[in-house]
Amino acid sequence: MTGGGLAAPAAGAAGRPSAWGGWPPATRTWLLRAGSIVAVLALWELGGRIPVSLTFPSFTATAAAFAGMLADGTFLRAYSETGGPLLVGVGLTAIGGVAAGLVMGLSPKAEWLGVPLFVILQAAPSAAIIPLITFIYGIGFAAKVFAVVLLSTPVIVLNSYRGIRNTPVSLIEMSEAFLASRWQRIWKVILPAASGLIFAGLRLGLAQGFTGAILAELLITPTGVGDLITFYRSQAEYDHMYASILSIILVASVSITLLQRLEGVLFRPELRSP
Amino acid sequence: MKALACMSIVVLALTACGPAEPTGEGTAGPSAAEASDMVEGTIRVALGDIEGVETLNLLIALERVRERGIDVELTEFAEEDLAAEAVLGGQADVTLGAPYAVIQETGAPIRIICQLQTSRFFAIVDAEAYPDWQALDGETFTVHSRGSTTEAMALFVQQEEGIEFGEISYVSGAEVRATALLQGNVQATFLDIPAWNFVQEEAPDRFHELPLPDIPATDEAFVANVEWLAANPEVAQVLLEETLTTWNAIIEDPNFAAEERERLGLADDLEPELEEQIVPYFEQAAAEGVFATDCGGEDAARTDFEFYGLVGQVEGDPATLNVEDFWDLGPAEAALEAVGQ
Repeated sequence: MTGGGLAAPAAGAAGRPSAWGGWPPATRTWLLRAGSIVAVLALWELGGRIPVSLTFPSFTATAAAFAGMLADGTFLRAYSETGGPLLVGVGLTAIGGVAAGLVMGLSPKAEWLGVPLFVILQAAPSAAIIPLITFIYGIGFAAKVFAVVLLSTPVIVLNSYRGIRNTPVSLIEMSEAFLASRWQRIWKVILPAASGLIFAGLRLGLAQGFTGAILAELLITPTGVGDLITFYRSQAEYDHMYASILSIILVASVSITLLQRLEGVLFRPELRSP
Repeated sequence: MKALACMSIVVLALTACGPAEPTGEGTAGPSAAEASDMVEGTIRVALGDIEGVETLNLLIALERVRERGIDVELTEFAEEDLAAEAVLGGQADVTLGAPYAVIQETGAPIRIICQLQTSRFFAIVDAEAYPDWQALDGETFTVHSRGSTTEAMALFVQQEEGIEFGEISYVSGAEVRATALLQGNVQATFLDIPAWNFVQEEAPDRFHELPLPDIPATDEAFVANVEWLAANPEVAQVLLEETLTTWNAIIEDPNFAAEERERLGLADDLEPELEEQIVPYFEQAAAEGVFATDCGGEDAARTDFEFYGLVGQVEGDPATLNVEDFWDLGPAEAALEAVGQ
């Protein structure tokens, strides 16, 4: 009984033709993903055609606006402005944040001093803080970089710190047994072991960085993509406004996916973040 | 139990026979509503601003509408655009703003019913670097955002003065631009009354005001849902009557705003330093002609078509655009007649 019961699913999976017509798992995954996207877009189109609100355009109208803005260089100009503070801010945070996480993970004093600070920073209402940046950093490039740093730092620092702290003790003991120096232990044992969480933090930090850059453009000086949103909203060109928002989602998603690919190239599968 | 019931009946009977309570606490202001002025109804107002010195006149007008028996629900939004969207979505009946683009682009069933305030900005520039408009030819000028009232003003100034700014840059919020001026990030911009006063207090001689042509374009207007207007003409009329009465009273005596605030208990959480700004602000605003006392009408609409057309908020030939496509002049005419103007 037990043996037959256990054998049944295996036989079914291997022998019976499934509802998917025997497509390979990878194809099925892609079909499911595509189906989910199509379903969301169909709902969007329906919502725009009803319409649920006069300010809510259909997907096709948004897609047409998107294509137009892509073709006439509007997006290129906007992202060349938004990209500067975003890249500088995320770059600074990636280097400084991982270093801060490393120090906090290795030194109890730094941990005691730093962790509460970054936990509070993570919980702080950033959108409320960003307008106050102007009082210190003015309205220029530095203010926008600071907004990116403000949002992306806590997640990068805390992930790095947790990665370092969670290094398996057996690995550290092994390095001690092999008489590794402190730097060798950090470079060859701790950092590779923490790389999964560090990269997860970098991915989340990049996403937060996008939010910081756009918030700064919406709340401080309307430039780049933030300006597109503000301008098209004031002109009641809601299809263009939604196209601008859609572009942010796409660019952020592509950037995060590229970072994930980079992680895949740099590290062994068991060290990659989930 | 019986004794309690008897006492209750006696109390109720005495209450019913007694004189009616006055609707307002005092009768000093022109707001004391008489029984014949009372109107039943509800109005949901979406305000794209926060309660403060600059919105005190509106709060007074709304409180006086309440005194006339109308249930006023006021909801504050972070921005005018959001407040306008609340009216489009049916969550509010009336908002403030000048949403020409929304009306024209979406064909939204909303109409402007009364101009409340005209645009009054001051062109504030570094006194040493820019003695006049000609000195700003080829220089950077900072405005609120693309397509904003202040950008329209900058373009208008270019036309009038025969100059061309080297670049028009954008910084949201007059208070942020004021801070940027003081920090040296911005050398020339438009400020509103409170922001200009702030800059003068902080750096009395560093900046000066360049003359601006008189541009009576709408800064704030009542915008109402068309269906609500059709179903509630009396409520709309009371709203405009009380607004016009309040505006006229402030122009006649700028202390009126502070007095009415005290009588009605409005904005009672204002900081002392902001309280001190109430009378000076309304004195200055009244002197500058900020408050529209005739709801603007067709002339205001035509001015707006030209002005907002400069930044693409209104598309088409200003001379041939149909006022009724954007405005409903009926409520204002009725209210002006009722208040004797």
